[in-house]
Amino acid sequence: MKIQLNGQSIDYADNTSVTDILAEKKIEPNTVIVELNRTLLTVDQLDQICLKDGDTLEIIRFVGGG
Amino acid sequence: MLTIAGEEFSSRLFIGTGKFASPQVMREVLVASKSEMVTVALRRVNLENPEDDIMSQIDTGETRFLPNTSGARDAVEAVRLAELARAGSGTNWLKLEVTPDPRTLLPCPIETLKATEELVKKGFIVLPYMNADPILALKLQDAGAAAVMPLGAPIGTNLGVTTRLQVEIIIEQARVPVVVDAGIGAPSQAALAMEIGADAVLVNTAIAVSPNPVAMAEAFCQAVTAGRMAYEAGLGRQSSMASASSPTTGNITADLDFLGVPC
Repeated sequence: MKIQLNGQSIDYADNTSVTDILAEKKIEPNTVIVELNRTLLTVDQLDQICLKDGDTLEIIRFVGGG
Repeated sequence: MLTIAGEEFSSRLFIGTGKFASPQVMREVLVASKSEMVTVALRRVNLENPEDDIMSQIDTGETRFLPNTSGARDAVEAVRLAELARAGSGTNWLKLEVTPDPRTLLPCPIETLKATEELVKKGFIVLPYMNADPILALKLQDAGAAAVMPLGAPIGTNLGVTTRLQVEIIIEQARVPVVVDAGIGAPSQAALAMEIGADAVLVNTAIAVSPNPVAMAEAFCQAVTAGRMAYEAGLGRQSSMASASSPTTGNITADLDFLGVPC
């Protein structure tokens, strides 16, 4: 399946969860904010929800800013 | 003591965390500045090279975390960022920043007011970044802003309080704290903002780009303290005519007239 991940179109296996993606990228789940199709996901939902073809996923973090 | 939305701050210097060379420098700057309020931004994680989590660098015991909505070009984007920020940080405090033009980074008054109204209704504590427009300042206060943050000059310009006259009017009319935010390029400029009655200042670029950010942070800390003390002590009036500071009578030079010495 193809999803939009942080603005890039990426292929993933069917039934990939957000937790799978974070683990692959070595990102701690509690250091990021996740938005799926413009909806905020809670920490519990990160491995409960399976991504589908055409989904838009944003993985966001706090950074330095004024 | 500065009070915003019922919360007290000993320090009137707020710090932005952008542009620092390293998280280590940023941490040391926060300590040197004695700031109790720091801003952060929200951005996509660089998935190829995830950066360090900035939250772990800020001691939230001593410091209030103030997420900003930088990047938002309108109220819709600002509200979206605000909700993400609240979910990610657990705080409902927010620096509202709506800047549609990347060249000037000036805040849109209309979208800022719209977003303030909506975010206040959603339970946020909103500190809106605004151009130094006294009428807008009153509208934002009517909408429930917890403070107003008029700019001294555009972000990153280090030009100082070019908006002094308007900021003075905003301060005179304000019912909430006034934080001069953006453009403050030197401790003397921060002191000026405090001397004219600002309740606090927010500084980022001037500290981050200094060759010695930690020393600069300390300088700003002292300047803000000095400026506020001067304001509370009461500044002397300015005048176009001289007024002698030494006594005008009992001059011994009156006796030296015989020398033909001009005095």
